[in-house]
Amino acid sequence: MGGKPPYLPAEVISDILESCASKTTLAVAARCSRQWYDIAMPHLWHRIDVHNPVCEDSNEPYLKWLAALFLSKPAIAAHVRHFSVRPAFEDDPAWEEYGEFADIRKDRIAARLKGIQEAVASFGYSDEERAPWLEEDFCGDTFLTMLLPTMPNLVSLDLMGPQYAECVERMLWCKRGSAFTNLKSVFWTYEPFHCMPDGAIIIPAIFVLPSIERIYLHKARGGGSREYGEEVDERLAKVSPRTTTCTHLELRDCRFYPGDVQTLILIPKALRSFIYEIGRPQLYSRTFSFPMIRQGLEHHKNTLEELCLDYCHGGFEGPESDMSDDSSPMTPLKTFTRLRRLKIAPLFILGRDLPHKNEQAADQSLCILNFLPGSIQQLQLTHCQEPENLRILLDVLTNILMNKTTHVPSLHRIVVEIESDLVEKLDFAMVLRLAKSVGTKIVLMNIKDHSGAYEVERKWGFGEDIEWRKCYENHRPLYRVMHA
Amino acid sequence: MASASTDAAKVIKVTTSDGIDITVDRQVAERSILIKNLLEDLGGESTDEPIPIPNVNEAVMKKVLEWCEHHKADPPASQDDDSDSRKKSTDIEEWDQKFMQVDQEMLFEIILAANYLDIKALLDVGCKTVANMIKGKSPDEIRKTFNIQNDFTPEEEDQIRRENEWAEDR
Repeated sequence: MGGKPPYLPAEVISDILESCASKTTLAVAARCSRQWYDIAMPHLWHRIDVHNPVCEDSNEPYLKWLAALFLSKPAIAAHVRHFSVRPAFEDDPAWEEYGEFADIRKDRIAARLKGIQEAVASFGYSDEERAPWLEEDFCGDTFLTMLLPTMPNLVSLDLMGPQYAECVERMLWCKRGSAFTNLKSVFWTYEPFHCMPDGAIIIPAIFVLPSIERIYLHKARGGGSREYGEEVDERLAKVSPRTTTCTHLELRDCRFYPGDVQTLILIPKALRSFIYEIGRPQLYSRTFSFPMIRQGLEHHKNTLEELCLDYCHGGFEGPESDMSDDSSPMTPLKTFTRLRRLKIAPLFILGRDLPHKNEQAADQSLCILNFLPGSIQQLQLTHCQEPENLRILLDVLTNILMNKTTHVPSLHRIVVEIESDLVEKLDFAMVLRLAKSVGTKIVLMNIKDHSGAYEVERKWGFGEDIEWRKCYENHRPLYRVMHA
Repeated sequence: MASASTDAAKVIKVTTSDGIDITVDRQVAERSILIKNLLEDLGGESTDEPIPIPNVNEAVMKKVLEWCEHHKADPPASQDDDSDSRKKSTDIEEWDQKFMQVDQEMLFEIILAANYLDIKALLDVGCKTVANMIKGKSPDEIRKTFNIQNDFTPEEEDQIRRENEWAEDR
């Protein structure tokens, strides 16, 4: 063979370019010919990750440049499906390259600022609303506000936002009916600001985006922190209950008051997946209420398929409760007829620091059995190494397995999170035999990393199989399967 | 012991674009969704009639069937196999890497045949091989590789370079 290479149809060139891991290669490919430009550009701009060093105004050069480009070239903006803005972390190469990069683009950014200001002026808001955007001193929030609506086909948005993205919030409210019609997933995490109260104030407008399906909030909080004398924040209350299309709501290490959590749970029309993990600051501040979460969930009892109620690795190592929280037991989920997967710390079922703490272990283990709905297929018990859980663990498992036929006939998998040292002290042999005889698989998961060296960035979703970009303090030891 | 008719059902014939008949195990040939569907349309019964493959010549067909033979026991592609991360991965199995060590014209012919015969996994390996091949090349080098006519003016090309500059790897 030899001579000219055969003609490749556009669909095959597209497959080749889709396989390119390097954006530089795609950018070069776009310069080859008009046909290749048309094929390469959607792949090149499919996913935009802005990740820069953590320093003052760090993301702004990039955001300004993008805003200018997308406002002047809407066809390019239309290619973007996934958009992410994060500061880079210190181990990221972008940290060192930032200075040089900023200098290269400084002139171009300055030249385009005027165009951006004109574009903002055409947004059609009142003079009062436009004024802050036309100032010389732009901030990241302002550029995001201009940038986001330029991407009509955006499917997922991943932001490490400032403490309060005021302009973005206003823009989302204003444009919620006309823009973001394809936006299905929003991930919002907090950019540390070294001031209190800690956490980013939630933007309720994300709940009313027309096509929203999945919302992930990390280190978010409601406004109006009482401890810090903030004014009462009524924005959440303005969102009517049962109005949003969101079916997956995930709150990890958030700092909401109990009423705010309940309000958030009530906003979706029909939740299929709810994940709530209390972070360390909230464990210490004790601003949670198990019964209020349970009341909120009651509205989704006919649709909820996955439920995770947990708290951070390490758990309650702080002071005993001063009773400002309400960690009394949740009522059973018997009426949740679609619930298939449940991941839960026994604390949510048994309560904490309550008189019944001293009840017989047998009674408590029955509480857990009776908590489960008959539809359950997979159960994951977390924090089993804690003394109050450990003393009842074998009874809990035995009770569930012995009553499988009558109570939980579809239960085929139980995952137990526990330290490996403790497994050796407990006699699991009988439970494992019993599990085998009733057709349920028991997986023991070691939560203690003896090497002490590895803490891994956690993924998201019920199965922790959804990857978002790296966030602050979102890591823990790698949990490993000991027995399956 | 299998009957004669069952044995017959286990092999099929294909006729390549240059008129050559090739006999091949049905299981191997059915890595091609095109051939699999054609056989199913015939009611799953054995046929002595060769299946015409008008877009693939003998040399390429034999190469494609060599790949199918090696991968005949692979599990069917799952939904996850279509994920973004899998497509972006440049990892290619060692056997496939060696298999793809052919001249460029044959490589492109294999890709075209995989596309026509609807063999997703082979198309995937071929595309990844080419993607790895063009990594680090200049526009001129890519044009030469793919025999592309540059229809941009220098000014247009420069403008595209500038507008895509930010999107490049940093």
